[in-house]
Amino acid sequence: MNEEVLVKTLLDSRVRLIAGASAVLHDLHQAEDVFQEVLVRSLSMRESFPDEAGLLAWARVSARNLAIDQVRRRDRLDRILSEAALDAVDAQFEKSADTVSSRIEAMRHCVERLPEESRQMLRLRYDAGHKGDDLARLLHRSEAAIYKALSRLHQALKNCIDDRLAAQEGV
Amino acid sequence: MKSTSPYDDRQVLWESLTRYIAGECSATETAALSTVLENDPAACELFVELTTQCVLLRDLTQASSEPVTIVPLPARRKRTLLWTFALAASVALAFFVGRQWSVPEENQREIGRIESASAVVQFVRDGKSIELSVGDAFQTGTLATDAMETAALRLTDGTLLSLGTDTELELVDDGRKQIDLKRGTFTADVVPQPPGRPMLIHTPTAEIEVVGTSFSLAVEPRRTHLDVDEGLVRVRRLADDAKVEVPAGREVRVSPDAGDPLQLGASTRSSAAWRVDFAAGPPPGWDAGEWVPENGSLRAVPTIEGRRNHAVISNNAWRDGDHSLVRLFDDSVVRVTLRRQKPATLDVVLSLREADGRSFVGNAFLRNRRNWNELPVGEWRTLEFPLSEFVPMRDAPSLRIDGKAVFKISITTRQEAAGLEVKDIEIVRRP
Repeated sequence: MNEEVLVKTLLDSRVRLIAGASAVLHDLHQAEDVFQEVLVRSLSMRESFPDEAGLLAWARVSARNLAIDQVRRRDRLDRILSEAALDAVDAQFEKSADTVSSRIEAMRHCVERLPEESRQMLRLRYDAGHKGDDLARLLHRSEAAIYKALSRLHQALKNCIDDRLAAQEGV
Repeated sequence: MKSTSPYDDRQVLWESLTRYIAGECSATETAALSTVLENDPAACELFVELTTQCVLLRDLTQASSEPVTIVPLPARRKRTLLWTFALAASVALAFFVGRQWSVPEENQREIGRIESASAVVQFVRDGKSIELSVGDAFQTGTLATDAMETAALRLTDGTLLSLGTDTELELVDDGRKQIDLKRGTFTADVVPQPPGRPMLIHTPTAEIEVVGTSFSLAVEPRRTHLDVDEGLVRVRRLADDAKVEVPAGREVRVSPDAGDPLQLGASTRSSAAWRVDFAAGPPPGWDAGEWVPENGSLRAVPTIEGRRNHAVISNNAWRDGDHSLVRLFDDSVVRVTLRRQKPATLDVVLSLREADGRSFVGNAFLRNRRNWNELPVGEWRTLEFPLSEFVPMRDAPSLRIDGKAVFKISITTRQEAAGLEVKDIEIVRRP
């Protein structure tokens, strides 16, 4: 497979592959690390991929295995979802693969409309990587309140994104 | 119908999945979530939505090509956040509030420029706040990065300051450089300072004197953390005037409590130089390579079973808890002593994290992978690659490699029978 096509194919599926790896790793930075490792490995194997679908199938399996391997090293296998659950999630990723790119712009629009404090919480959680106890300390709230607020933010974003996409489609 | 699972309440499911993604579910909770996901396609849909949102949110906050993606807090709010952090160190605050610097009115000249930045840098001077971008000059004043931003500042004498995320410092240069680190972290590569005028750095708990060296500094809740890469740095604790000199490879943590010992520890950060040879075999934890005791080298091995590519790969220092192998500077070079039995395309891959270790940056590759036909077959050669020959494999053309930390290095060929052997690898600053 042409190197340019290979890289483009994987970059187009980057969000989905990182999301899948983060479902195992609980860490976006490590998940990005896994994606990059998959990219590196695929380059050296590019002649063995018959087509883009074959490449993506290999990349999905490789990303999950690399992620599980990292968790195994930390002896935390009981903190990841069962194989069957991960398979079910994977199947759902397949169904939603085509919608990711359209959601990016909608997400940007919706995030910009969140209150300042909400955006701050999202930045601290997903960019700076702070988790419950850190966020609770930084934002002077209980850990339970932090996760309640975060989950509501995600729900609000989902509703906003769905509404925006529906409006764009003229539904 | 009566609920049979707490997750039938979708709000409970959202919360549990949010906690799971953060890695904060117990084994029992994880097993319960597995059961739900295995049997409830709607729950799977929700989980996919959530993980996808997380990745997109991170991408939005890290987008480097636009000034602001998620709008940074305005100055007033940022100030509030600053005090939130600072209040966590309330004892330290007492030292911080009292300090006043005299800035001569005539000192309006440029003292540095923004060399790189993931977004914009806030610059406050005379009560006015403006946003600076790459290439912009600044004078004496306060510079700040947001919770999503990093930035590199090049001072007019060549000193490089690399600011971490959520960092604020006041910078004065009236013939003697003074930095007041109010929050956050920065690393510094300080050129030799004028005789009798060492750089002075103030934190809420310490005063640090720098003649010319490289180091990292962090203001943490209730203490200052200094880690020295090269040279020697003098530290004075404000609480009791206790002093200590911190040499290369050592660190010190300075609390506001006079009773605490002011002890040096081994550095937890990467140094400016790293070298490994295989005369006595691969170091513990080394990832890939078959030891050849006859010549003290590692022979490249398949990295994926049944595939053609062969590699010598270091341990993953970050995963192993050592943070990284080495920190990169703009004058860093990668040297590899190797030989091969047949012509082979060679890849050198550096896996990078931010200097503070907080986030993954990506992999950097040789700009021009070469077919090493010019190398005599079977003879050892030391190849040298300056940092300028590496490019990041990421959709971020403005990403700078220098200032980052290498946590893994791979030497790879794509030919099975190339017979690549590596005797030593080093990453050092060019003398």
